[in-house]
Amino acid sequence: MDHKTHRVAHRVEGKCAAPGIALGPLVRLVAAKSETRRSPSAAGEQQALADALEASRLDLTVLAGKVEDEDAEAILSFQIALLEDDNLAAPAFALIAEGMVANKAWVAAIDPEIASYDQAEDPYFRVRGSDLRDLRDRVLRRLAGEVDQAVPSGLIVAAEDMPPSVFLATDWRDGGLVLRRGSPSSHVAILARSRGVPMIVGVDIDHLESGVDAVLDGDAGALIVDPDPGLRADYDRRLAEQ
Amino acid sequence: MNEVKASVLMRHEVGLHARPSVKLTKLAKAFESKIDLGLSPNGPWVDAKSIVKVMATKAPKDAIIYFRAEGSDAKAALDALVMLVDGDFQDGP
Repeated sequence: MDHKTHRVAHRVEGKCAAPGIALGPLVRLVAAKSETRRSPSAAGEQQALADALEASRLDLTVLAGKVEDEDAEAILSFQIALLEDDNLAAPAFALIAEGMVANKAWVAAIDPEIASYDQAEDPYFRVRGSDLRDLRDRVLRRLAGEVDQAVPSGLIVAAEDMPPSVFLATDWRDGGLVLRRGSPSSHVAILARSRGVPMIVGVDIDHLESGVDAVLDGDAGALIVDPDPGLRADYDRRLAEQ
Repeated sequence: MNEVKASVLMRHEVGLHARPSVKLTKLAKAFESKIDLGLSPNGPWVDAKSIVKVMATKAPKDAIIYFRAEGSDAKAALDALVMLVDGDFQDGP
């Protein structure tokens, strides 16, 4: 047997979050690096934060114009309303004036808010923590000079976790989602089910390489990497039927 | 200038969470008056135009929402806000 070309199919187990089958190349998303900002002036840092907040607001407004379902619209309009409220970032601007860099000040300002929702007794208020985290990370990405990566359709995306606003900005036609974190009751799982995007959670993504061929079986809660031709044909048939 | 006060029972199933808070603060911002919101007749009061502050009250179902307003359109503002809460925030989708 030719060891250079033959690779053995292997199966990685997870938990079903949204049913369905997806076949395609796998892409692994890497988390944003939190860069250290250098020799800032307070005025420059305040401007950088103001710019990042405004860019985030525009990102979300564009996204809100594209979504059609009520769940997605509600999540996005809440995040936009938070960004339009000066009270959200006011503590961060105060910390920058005292000499803190913008990304640290933003995290220091918003993390106590997140914690207060995480500790709420009411589950409806608890999930607001995930909205604020989504918003915190979007502004941090903008502060680091990143723009949203556009993932082409037809891919199986593997990541640590995915916030709702990133899920909503992705073209999921013929694609699927594999997460290490997250749960079947998360915002993203609800959105995935309502949009028919196969999704599994609780997956060990450490050994997954971008570019490998994979089958995501959302019904069984498993990912099959390098499926052999027989298995692939079975799934092709199931995909045609779904 | 006179201060206007009002209160209303909130029956919304999940309390003053994301969607009701968005609607309430948007409506409050449509008025010029200074408008505060509280969960007791004596405060503490938060700015009813700030979603960050309004959400932070974490007002649950069956809470009584108190408003106080000061300004040229204070009465109209509180009438509209009470109507929104009393109507279970159903002013469209």
